[in-house]
Amino acid sequence: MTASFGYLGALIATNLRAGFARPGPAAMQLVLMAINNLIFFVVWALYFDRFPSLRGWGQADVAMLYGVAAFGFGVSVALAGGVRDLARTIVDGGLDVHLGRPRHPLPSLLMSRSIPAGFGDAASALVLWLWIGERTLSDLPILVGLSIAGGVVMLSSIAIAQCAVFWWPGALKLADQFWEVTVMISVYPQHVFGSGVRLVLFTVLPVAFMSQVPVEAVREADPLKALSVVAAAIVYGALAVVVFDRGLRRYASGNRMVVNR
Amino acid sequence: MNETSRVLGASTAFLRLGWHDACRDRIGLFGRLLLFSIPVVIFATIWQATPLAGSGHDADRLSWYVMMTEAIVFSVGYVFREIEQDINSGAIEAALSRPFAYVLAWIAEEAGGTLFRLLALLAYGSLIAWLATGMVPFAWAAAPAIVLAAIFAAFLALLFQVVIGLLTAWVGTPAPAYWIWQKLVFVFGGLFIPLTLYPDWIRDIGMATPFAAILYRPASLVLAADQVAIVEVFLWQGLWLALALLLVAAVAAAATRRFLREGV
Amino acid sequence: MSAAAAIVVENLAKSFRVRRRVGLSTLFKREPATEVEAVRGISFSIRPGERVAFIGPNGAGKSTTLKMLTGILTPSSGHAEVAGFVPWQERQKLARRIGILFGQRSQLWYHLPVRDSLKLIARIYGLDRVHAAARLDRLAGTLAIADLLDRPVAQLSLGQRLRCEIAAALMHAPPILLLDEPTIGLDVSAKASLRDHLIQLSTEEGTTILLTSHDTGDIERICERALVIDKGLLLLDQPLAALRAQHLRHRLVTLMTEEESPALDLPGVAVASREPHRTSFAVDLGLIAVERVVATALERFSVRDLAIENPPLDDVIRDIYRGAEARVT
Repeated sequence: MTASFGYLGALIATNLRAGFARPGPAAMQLVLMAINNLIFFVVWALYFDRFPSLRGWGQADVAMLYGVAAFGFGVSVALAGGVRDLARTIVDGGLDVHLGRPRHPLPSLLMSRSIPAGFGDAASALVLWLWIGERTLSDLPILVGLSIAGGVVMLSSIAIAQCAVFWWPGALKLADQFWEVTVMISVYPQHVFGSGVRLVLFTVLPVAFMSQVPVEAVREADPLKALSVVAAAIVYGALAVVVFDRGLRRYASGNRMVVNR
Repeated sequence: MNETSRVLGASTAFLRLGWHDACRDRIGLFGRLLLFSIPVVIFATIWQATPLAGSGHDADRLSWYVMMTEAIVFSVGYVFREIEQDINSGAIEAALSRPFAYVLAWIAEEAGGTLFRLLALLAYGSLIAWLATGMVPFAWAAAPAIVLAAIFAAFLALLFQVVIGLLTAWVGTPAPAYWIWQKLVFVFGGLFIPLTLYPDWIRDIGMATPFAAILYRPASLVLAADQVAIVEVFLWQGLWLALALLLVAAVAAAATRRFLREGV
Repeated sequence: MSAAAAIVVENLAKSFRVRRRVGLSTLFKREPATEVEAVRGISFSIRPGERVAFIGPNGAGKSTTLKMLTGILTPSSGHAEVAGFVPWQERQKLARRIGILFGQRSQLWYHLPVRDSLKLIARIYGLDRVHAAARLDRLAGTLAIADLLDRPVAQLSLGQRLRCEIAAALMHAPPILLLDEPTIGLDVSAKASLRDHLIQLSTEEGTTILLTSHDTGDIERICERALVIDKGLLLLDQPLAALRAQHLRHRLVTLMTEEESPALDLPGVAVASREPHRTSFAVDLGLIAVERVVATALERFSVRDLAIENPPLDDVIRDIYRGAEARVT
């Protein structure tokens, strides 16, 4: 057990060192990404300058939501940026190196790349929470915790979508789009949607757990909602491992397009 | 054949190439329509949920507005990445020796693709906007002018992307510049909120920028399209198109001088 | 089944179902799948410490076989044991007993110093620090990579990188090393250096080596035994000496000369192709030594450049087929 944690720690450390191997450009990306998010939030500031509330939500709530989405997404891609290339790695046969090792291949696949700009997202989240979101330092642990749980839901659902290429290699482009759609929706408040859309956002496209439910949990101080985010992280995480393992079995049976290379 | 007709002929050829390429990329178009639907639905839903009474706007018209701005945003490809690659791989060296201006070739080709995508997005977007709101907010007679304003807007955005791509000659990787530019378009162009709903001072700044000529001005025609408004939009777009073309020419000339002096 | 064998393969076969799909329209009408037999029932066994080349042209079934031996692919039928494990049933256990190198896939992090990647790999295999450091020292000596350890992989030449990749595959001191096309893209001297390192390794640590290649040169440079595979069938399983005597009897000597159309009237030497200043001679090693041909050429002509090549694998395989036919008739 401790050996496994040691291994995961080493994996994270190596990935981060690679991400920041050229610290100059990495730092610039990080800073620009943070600025980028804050400029975009100006749109919301302008909205709430004109309208007092959006179905009961004020600027502080939307700032908190944008921050939760940015933090969860940012930390996920900074630590496990390999999720972005998962489908391509599977199609290109890049799994083989990971399969030749005495460990489950998923952690080393996900942590094979770090996107340093993700820390810029996380940095902008701190500004959004503490300044515009009117939250205090004492709120930070729960915000960070729920954002990370939301990030796990995001990583897992994207990984599941990318695993589609095990069965249908042509799904590569669609997997990329799943990623974009997820990120796009996660930064907007979802309580404005009707029940049909919300059902989708709680299931096939579980974006609700990445921002909306964590924010509702904090706003309403509702421990059940907080627990539901953690539960979603566990369920979607487990589902991702199951789907990946199924795909792996398919990969090993070799009914794929690449005959010999 | 004189020089002008030669350049025109070549430009048309590139334009058609871009159009046909975009036509053939069915899966790409399908994905683009899907992605385009998402912010349109989100923004339209937010407008439906917004207490608009007394603002002089209604949610249905604003839904058409965000459909227009998003259609313009989604129609423009990523030509800055193509130019970045050409410069960083040195491929531009060969292009510089060709008799047809490199930048003009990209502008024409991308304009062809952008035009096809814009028309497809507007057709699809108008259909879902009509189905969702049950209304068309403008007179049919104004439709050609609205489409034309959208075309000019997308072309203007394309020209700025070419400038950002050419910045590669100085900065190596133009992506961060693109992100910032894109966010400025979103904020000052009024991607989601029409500039008229902004506080006065920021509205005035926005109106004076090219960003408004890219999003707010053409899209505002679905809010109110009288003849004066249409003429005003075209005048502003004409002014910014002229300035943008001058900017492209100046930056391209500076980049070329740099390549000739220091190599690619 | 002999417990002493490092690798045992019996009637191993693998077929793939392949479905052709072109364009969007065929997305909706599925064409029937066709069976492609990549490996058609091959058998062999390898003793501990042997160095074996598994050679064949592209698409012969080499990589498919290697993937089955590492547990990445499940065979359609047949049996195999590697280090006492059935690979596709106990992949993770097997992974601790074998080292794998895929020629075109890197285990190393491109922007990091080699040492960082090797340390991570030590953690993957659960080696303790002291053990890993000692192992790294030893490999650095055997593979002559001590000077490379603190340089980012991005700065290494292909040959240097490959030696580091081999170190990565050997960090956990596996008794068996499997290499898939390790020599692709290497120049002659890098290949020679790789050979020396692999030979040293197998003599010092008793490592069993199985490598795939489509280059006849590799057979002689690295291995003592060759398995030749073509179209999924094992054509030949011979010690190198026998293979050399029977099927590698020719060398191609190419001369770039000042003179036009030089002629060499030596026994066992024939013109293979000719341009005015570039002539290739096929040399029959059974009749004359390459050294003599080269010496004679240098003596008679002003040679600007020369090259000595092994016969292409296609020729060797044709020769093997012809030999088989000859034996049958």
